[in-house]
Amino acid sequence: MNQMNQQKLKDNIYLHFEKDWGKQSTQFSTCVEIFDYLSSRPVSQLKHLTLGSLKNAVKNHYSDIDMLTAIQYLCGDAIPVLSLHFEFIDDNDQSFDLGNHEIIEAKKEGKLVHPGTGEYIENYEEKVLMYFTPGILVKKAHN
Amino acid sequence: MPLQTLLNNLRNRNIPWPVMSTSFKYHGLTIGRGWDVTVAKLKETFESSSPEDQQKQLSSLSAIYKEILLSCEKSARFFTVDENIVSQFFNKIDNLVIPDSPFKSDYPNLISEDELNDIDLNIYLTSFSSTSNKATLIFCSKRLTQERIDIKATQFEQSVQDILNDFSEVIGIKNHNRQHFDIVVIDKTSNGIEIRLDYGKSIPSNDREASFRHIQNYLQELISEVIETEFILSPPIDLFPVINSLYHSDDGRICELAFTTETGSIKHEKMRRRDECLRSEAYHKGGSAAVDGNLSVYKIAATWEYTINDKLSTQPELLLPGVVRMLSQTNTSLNDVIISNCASLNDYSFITGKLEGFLEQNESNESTET
Repeated sequence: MNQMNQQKLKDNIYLHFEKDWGKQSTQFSTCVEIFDYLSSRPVSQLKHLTLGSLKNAVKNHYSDIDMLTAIQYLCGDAIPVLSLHFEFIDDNDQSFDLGNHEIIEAKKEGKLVHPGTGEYIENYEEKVLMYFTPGILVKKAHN
Repeated sequence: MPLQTLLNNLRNRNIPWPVMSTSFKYHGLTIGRGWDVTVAKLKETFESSSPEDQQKQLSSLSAIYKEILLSCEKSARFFTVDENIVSQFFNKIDNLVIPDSPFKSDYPNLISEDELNDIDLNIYLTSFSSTSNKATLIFCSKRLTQERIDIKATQFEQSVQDILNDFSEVIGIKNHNRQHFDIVVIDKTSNGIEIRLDYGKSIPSNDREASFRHIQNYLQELISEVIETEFILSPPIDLFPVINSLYHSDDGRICELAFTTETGSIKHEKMRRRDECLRSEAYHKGGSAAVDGNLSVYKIAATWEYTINDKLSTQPELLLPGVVRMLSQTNTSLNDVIISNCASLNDYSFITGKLEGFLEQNESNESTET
């Protein structure tokens, strides 16, 4: 994608934010700052983004609630800026990626199969964490 | 061996689930999500199978168990032995006697918890097999291990529950005895002895050293008895030089690295992504370039993709667990490695083959320099 088209894509994304949140809203500026940060970084260095790293990226300007609202929106199908993933981190700080079906099953059964041992864990919620990678729109904005 | 016993044997070994499920799949056994569902499915399939198929399923589980005893979650050290000693050992191998013990009578099954609690802390030769070039000796012993256990408030009376309810999580550390299967391989082709300590990764390094010494002492006595001459093992092969060779090669995927820099820092890096290598990670490359690549690596772990067939593979891991003081000491030696995530002797040998390759490469570089 040439520079002109990239700018056009970015303008369209900003317009989308404006239409959904209103230009004066905190959500609008949170989404713009997150998107601008993601567009400014090489995609190869955005393989594991967390709530904490995104807060740092926007200089901790926003509350956790504002950040989570923006992130939830940016992970949606309408404007796929972020892609959501889950990981299980055990007591030894070892992390295991979890598929959506594993999360769905755990919610249904009230217990999660430990990906490393195959045994059930009941108090799993605090050990299952979200992380993010760039969504399709960020990848397009880079190309 | 009954189905339930085989399943208990396998489950009690705390084998990494990806390894276990790959082994089940390789043998065409039905699996589900995690142990509970898999055990239920295997029992259901077994009960609805013909006697002939039941026998096949038992043989498959038994084969998986035997491979796992020999190769799964081991710490290994290697020795070079005089050619004459190895020849004498193979010539007089009939002198090798397996002493009576509960381990021997129940092998390869685990002995009962009561028997394990009652038995002393000695090592027992439990089984051995040999070909013209290789003897494999299996030793059993009990070792004390610690396990983290989630404690549920509902297990206690009301007054304790009232106290525990203030905590979101209560963890207990339980001491218990575990039966270990240590392996010794005496190889006539390479004149080498390999000792594989069971559960190598989960044993603290001091205990690991003590356990290796315990086996070495017993092995010296045993070989001396067989060859009817006093035999003393030479020091184990120093594996520390392999750390640098592995780091500077492009072999495998480095997933853990610890090093010092000349700017005064100690770094410990771990790659959480299964498909990425620390060597090519942006932060590592940038940091390394900033100090002109002058990193002194003292600990490294790498994994390889080991293809079993067109649908199945394992990711065996080699960890060289050096410590920072080894960089400053003279006459230092890294005596053992930890080999994990192996489903069989094939992927285990693949890793020891890599290790041998690096050792040979170092030897050849040294001889070129001199």
